Amino acid sequence: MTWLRNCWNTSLRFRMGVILLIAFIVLAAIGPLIYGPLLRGEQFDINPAAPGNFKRWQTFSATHPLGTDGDGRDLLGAYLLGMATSLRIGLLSGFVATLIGTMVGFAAGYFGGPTDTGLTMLANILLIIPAYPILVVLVLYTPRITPEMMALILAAFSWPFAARTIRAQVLGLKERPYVDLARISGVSSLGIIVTELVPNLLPYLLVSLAFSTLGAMAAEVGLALIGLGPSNGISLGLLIFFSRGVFSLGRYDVLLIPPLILIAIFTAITLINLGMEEYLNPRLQNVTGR
Amino acid sequence: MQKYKRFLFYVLRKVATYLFTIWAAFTITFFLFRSLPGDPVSAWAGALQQRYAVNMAGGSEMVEAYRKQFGLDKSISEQYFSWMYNAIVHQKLGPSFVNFPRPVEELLAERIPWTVGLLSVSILLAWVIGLLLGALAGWLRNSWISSLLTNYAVVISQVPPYLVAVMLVLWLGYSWRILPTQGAWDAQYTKGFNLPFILSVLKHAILPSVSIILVSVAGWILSTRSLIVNILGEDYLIYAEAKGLPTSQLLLRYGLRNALLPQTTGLALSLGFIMSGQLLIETLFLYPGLGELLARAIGAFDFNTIMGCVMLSIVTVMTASLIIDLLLPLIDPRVRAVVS
Repeated sequence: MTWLRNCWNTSLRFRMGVILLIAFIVLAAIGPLIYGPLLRGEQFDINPAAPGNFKRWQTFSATHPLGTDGDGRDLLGAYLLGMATSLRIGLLSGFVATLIGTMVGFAAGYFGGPTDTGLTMLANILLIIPAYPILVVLVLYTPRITPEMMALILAAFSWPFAARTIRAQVLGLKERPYVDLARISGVSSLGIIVTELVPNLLPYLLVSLAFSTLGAMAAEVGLALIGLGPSNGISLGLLIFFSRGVFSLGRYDVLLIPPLILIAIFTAITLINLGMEEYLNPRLQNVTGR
Repeated sequence: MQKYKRFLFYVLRKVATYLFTIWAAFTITFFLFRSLPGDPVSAWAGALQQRYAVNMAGGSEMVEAYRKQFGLDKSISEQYFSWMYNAIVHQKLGPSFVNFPRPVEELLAERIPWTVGLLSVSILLAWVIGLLLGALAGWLRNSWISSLLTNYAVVISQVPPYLVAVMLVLWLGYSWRILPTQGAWDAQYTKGFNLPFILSVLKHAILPSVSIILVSVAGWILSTRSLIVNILGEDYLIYAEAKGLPTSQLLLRYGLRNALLPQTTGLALSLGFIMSGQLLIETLFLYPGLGELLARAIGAFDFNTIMGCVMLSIVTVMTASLIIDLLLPLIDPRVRAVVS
């Protein structure tokens, strides 16, 4: 893991991104736990993000720090829960997509030949099918869809991106002398992949993870904007969808906060990605010129 | 002679892959949509029943007649082969359900100019601006201009364009009422080649295209910047500088010239994706393009129109990448060396 420490030391972008992302994850993970009881007082079963629990359109106050919206949601609570759902969908979908992409990428790159031709062809076919209409129809026809199911559906269409990147890296790496040495020493293919290739490709796996997470979160917002989201929960995308009719009331905070939270999370992940790329591509660090 | 043979083999292999990929993508989407429960006719009949409490028992013959017209009475494999036969032999994509009884190919033809007009101009503008700003950011890599451009690009590049569009609509459209936010032209002008109509079309295109440009410029800035920064370290550039060439020539003829090839490939690919339309942006602005048609078709579960839109997009993307594959050996001597 020395490369992670190096990344941290060399790149300001990487440090900023990691700190920002961890802050958001911590906020989303423990925010609702602390805020929920504070809001409930003596009533224990109130979900701040469920509609109809409070008076509509309250402005900022001690009981509702960010006010309530037109459906009677406590907005601070809704933002915290929405952030948690969006991050959960994004990260889970990113992990699954990277996992599938890694397995396919390694199989295609390492074994080559017909395996490679077949898998690359499959990935290319999935890449050119416009995913959005298919996602809409799948989400529309899945009854009682949970955030986890949404994440899996999104991952099913985003793994080819990861597979393509990983395959290219494996192709470059498998001709290295140390891989040949391991092969001559009688290490099995799986052994070589696990002990020699994966550790060296870890940075690239993390870059794919970041990209798939971003893609999944953006796709969730895209689906939520036409009203399709996890059925009994709240996400940042759904909060944007609910705030459609608000501009005439002058409550700009309701309109702006959810997209700004999303943009901040996207920025954090992009910063981490750029930091890692800077480290992986030494030519971006020191060049002659001005 | 051997060389031409190998080149011919390369072309044939690319064309075969092209045809196979289109067929496979079509087959996957076709069976995916048909394996879901329901079809447009029964969904429509069900909705009628629910909304007006009509008794559909007497109308079942009518429903059957419509199902027959859409070919829904046949088995799935029969529908699959007849769709392919009609599309390839007769260039017919079947009747649409959202605009019954107009054929899908007519609807597509009507919407293509709007989507292509809006998106091609936006993509090209974004490409030119992004390339120039990215070159600037790469060249002056330690100045405040570069950090300003790069930081803007980092924040914006991964933001979906529709989020930007939502914000633009709120500020410029609703709060300040400067620009129109719906449709593609004002209804009082007659459609045709006259000045008021053209001005109205341009005015309506500003908000959607600006929201696309703001985001995609950021992506081009980042990629051009890293290309230029890479080139800055090359020996030939140091040599050219030592020769005493002026800065503008270094930047344009040595820096940008070398970044142009990968960026042109990227441009061609994103132009290929034009036909999938910007579904959310077009829906948001009620722009009469392919994306808005597709959104309505999905809402009505209109198989024929969905398949028409999806196939149009698949064929364009594949054609764009085939053209790149065939042109690249002609432009880039390195690729030519590999091919022949």
